[in-house]
Amino acid sequence: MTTYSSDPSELKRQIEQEAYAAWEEHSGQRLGRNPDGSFRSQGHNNALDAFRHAYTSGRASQIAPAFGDTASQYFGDRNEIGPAHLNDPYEHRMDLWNNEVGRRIAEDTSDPAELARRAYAAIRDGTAVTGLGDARLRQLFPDDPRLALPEGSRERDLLTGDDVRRINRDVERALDRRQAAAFPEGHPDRAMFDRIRAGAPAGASDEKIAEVMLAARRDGIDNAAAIRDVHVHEGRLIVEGRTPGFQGVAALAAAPPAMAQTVEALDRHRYEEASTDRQRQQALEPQSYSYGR
Amino acid sequence: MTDTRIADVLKQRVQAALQESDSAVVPANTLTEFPWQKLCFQRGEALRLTFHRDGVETVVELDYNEFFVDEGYVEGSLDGACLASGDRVVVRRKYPRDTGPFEFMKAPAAVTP
Repeated sequence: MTTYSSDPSELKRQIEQEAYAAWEEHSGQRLGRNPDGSFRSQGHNNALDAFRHAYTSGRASQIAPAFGDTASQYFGDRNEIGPAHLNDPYEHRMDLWNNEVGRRIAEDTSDPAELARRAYAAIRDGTAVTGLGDARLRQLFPDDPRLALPEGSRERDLLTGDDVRRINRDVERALDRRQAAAFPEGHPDRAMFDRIRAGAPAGASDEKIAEVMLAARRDGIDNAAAIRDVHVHEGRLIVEGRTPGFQGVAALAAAPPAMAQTVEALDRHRYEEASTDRQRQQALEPQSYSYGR
Repeated sequence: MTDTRIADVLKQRVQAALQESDSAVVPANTLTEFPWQKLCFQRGEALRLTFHRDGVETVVELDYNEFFVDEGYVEGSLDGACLASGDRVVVRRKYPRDTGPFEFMKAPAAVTP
């Protein structure tokens, strides 16, 4: 059990060290160290940066009851406001987005290991923003007049508390929409979905994974164990079955159907499969005849 | 020596080093009017500079509107790092042609652990 410092800057350092350790565990990537063995500060506008923000913000929310508002404030909005935090406006937006991803995970769990697992999953499944080129950042407080200022001006990089509130409002709306498009946790095809997700490119949406899973199911691949490989070829996401020739394919560039529509199709497919199985079973059962005298 | 005096001298010497340019590399010990052996940078509510001289620490807190060191994970940041008296340091205008803040950054191979 970690004993956290009551000094905010030391607390921040402690939680960031946890974040780096968790990143190493989940990604398998070895991070740079200081001479004393601690992790060097690293990760800027990339996946590690996104993970650090999601984890630290989530962890601060988890421990906030013991620290009052200090922890969550220190890791949240305050890290973007004022002259100490002069950053590109899209960098501010990326950080605020990933902070909210972490806070949402922390609403479901108080376990740091689970927070780390889900924050890493958010990197893999595209929930987190891992670069300034992400189009979702352009939808956050898009009428901010500073975005029209030339790059390299102080006014463009400086955020106020009110700016942060407006950006956070748009982040919450965007993440709400994304949650509605997420594949349901308790769905009977969840294991198969996770198997495809593990082999799909980072950033592929849940809706795209569900689309290719439906195609695979329709081609006879009916569970996770029946999948031999998941890969991308010429812009298409391909699920190969263990039975040669069985596969599901979806073009990555094409817009996927809405999640609700795909889940309904999956459920219908499963119902039809079950009906067919029942009919086949009945056909195989020995017929009983009664003979009258 | 007061924080204000140290900050004023720092500002004057950075301005003198930059003159009309946006960036310069200077020996770190030329930025103060007193000798020191080690100088450490720490971001917090203010930018904290700790001068180590003959076993005595002098801590100066600087306003981010005047001086800037970026977050530790940004390439070249001096946050959490220390310079030896003979090291060189990059001083630059955070925003080209602007009046401030002045930013301190690592010069290549200038930082001691």
